Amino acid sequence: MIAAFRVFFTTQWASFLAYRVMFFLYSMWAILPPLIYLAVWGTVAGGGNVAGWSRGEFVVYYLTFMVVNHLTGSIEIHTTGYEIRMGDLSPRLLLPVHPALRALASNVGFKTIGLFIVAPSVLLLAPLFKPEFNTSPGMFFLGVLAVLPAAAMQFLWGYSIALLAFWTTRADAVSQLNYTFLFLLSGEVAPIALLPEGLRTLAAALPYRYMLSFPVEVITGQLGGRQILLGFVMQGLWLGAAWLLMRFTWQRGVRHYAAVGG
Amino acid sequence: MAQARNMNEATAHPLAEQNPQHEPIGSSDPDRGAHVLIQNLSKVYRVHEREAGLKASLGSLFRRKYRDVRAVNDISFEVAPGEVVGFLGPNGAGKTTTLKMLSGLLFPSSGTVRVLGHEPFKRERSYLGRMSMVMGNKGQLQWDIPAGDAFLVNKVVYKLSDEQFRTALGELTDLLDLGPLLKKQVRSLSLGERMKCELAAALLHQPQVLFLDEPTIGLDVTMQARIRSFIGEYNRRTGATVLLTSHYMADVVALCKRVIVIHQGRLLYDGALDALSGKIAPFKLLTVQLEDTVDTPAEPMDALAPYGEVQRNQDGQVVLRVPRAEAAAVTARLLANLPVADLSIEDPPIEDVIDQVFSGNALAEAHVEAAR
Repeated sequence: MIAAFRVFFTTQWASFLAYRVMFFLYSMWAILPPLIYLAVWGTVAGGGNVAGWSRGEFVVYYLTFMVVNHLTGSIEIHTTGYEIRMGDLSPRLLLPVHPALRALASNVGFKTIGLFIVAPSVLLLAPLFKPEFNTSPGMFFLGVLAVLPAAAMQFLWGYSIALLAFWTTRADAVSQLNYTFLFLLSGEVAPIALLPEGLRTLAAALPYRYMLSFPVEVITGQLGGRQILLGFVMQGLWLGAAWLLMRFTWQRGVRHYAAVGG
Repeated sequence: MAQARNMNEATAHPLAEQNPQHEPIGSSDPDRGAHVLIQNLSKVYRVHEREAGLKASLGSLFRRKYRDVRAVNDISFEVAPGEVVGFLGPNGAGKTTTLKMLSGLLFPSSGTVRVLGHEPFKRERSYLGRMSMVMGNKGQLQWDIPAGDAFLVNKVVYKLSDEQFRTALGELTDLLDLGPLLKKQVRSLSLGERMKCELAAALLHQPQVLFLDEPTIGLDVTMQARIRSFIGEYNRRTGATVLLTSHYMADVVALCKRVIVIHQGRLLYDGALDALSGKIAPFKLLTVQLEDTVDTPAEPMDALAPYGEVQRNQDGQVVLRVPRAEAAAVTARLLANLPVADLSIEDPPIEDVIDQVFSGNALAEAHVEAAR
């Protein structure tokens, strides 16, 4: 399986490199929206602060957010969802390897190449916005560690949504709905700490925070030890749930695909 | 049933020997030694239907109408190891649906499907590793990488050793003349070149069963012939079982001793290609040319019409269609009553027979029974 992943990764990498301009534009998706919210919140904070957040803290938060956003984002609606809609899944199903492995390789390949665009962009932006770092190496390390389950959650979640294409040609509509939740509850429109009480509670319970905001919060040193531990537990629980969801959707979906043709 | 190829011949092939997955099926297996076994197989699709127009479109939002389409209807057949069988039928006959059930892409509505002792829909790796399906209109090669890289993917996925891969690729490169294509991006290959690469990708792991769904579709005549001869060569070399659908009769005539004809999901004929005409279209074609004498009727067609159905009248030659059983008697009467200069009796061309079947004419005229 590792060998299959490696060969898929290599070919996906080569395939992505054939579309450098497209790649640049896709990578901008990870950067531009947080940049806009950074500008908004930075302006609101001005020389003072908003709910205890200074302008410099917003800068650190959103710059970190850009990188984590890129590393955790799901592209499966565009890869697997498209394959199902176009009937391209059939040749994949004939191979003695689960098609999700290729999707995963595609996901990792996309992020690896994209990092060469996102990381320098963030490094270039940083001096312009004057960030204020309040973190420790330990927190930074723990936050980086939390990126992995967050990315895995988004992959499984995104893959499950893409699999809805087995039933409906409008799986992308469900994907849009998912993006809306992600936008609201993953710390993109505003850091979770700044959300109203009700939304904060919702964010703590639903998976979206743990898919993106949680690693950013840890890296930027916003959370205490107990909160970090709780966050990892929630990540574990939601990761397990996402895995079950993906397996369930796959088993049902592929049978439905088989039942209706393709 | 056409004679099964001797499995010893299959294992004598060096590639087959190297492939540990190639093991003959024992005589005690429930598949009776067949590579493909289908019994009372049916497939029903449920399709959503609505009238054209905005009103119907809005209506279908709230109340959907469905219709059951029986794509494959209670068909049964077996294919022995090493056979090459042509699967014939018009568009929508159920050929591709059957092949998809055989390859595990579709789940049967009822009946039994077994290939190489496996139930295809379970998609066990041990099954997928021993079969291949090539779809003329849906390739497995990734477009943005060279074909050679795509073959490397299959090497890993099918767990081929370096030696197996090298030998298989070498052979396929020779047979299909792939050398110049391996480094080209798949998207820049012509349709024919791409199909050659698709075939190579599908055969690298030496599948024991090969399903080919319109492998020559859209190709020019030369490339069709090339692909055709390659498939025949592959079958001879490896003893693989091949099930082939094609719209081009030339493919079937060149490759298949046995054909299975299905129409509207039902099996119409299963037997030797040679016997197809006799079973399905029990008539002969008499080509008659009359002498140019004073006794010759001014219009030969009028004179010949009472002897059979006139198919064609060109350059003084009239082609008559007469029932097979009456061909001899009609010929005798023709020779006795008319100044015949030339006469020949032939079976109708296979294309015409198939066309008749699909247009429904033959069914009305002939009682068709499955050969077995």
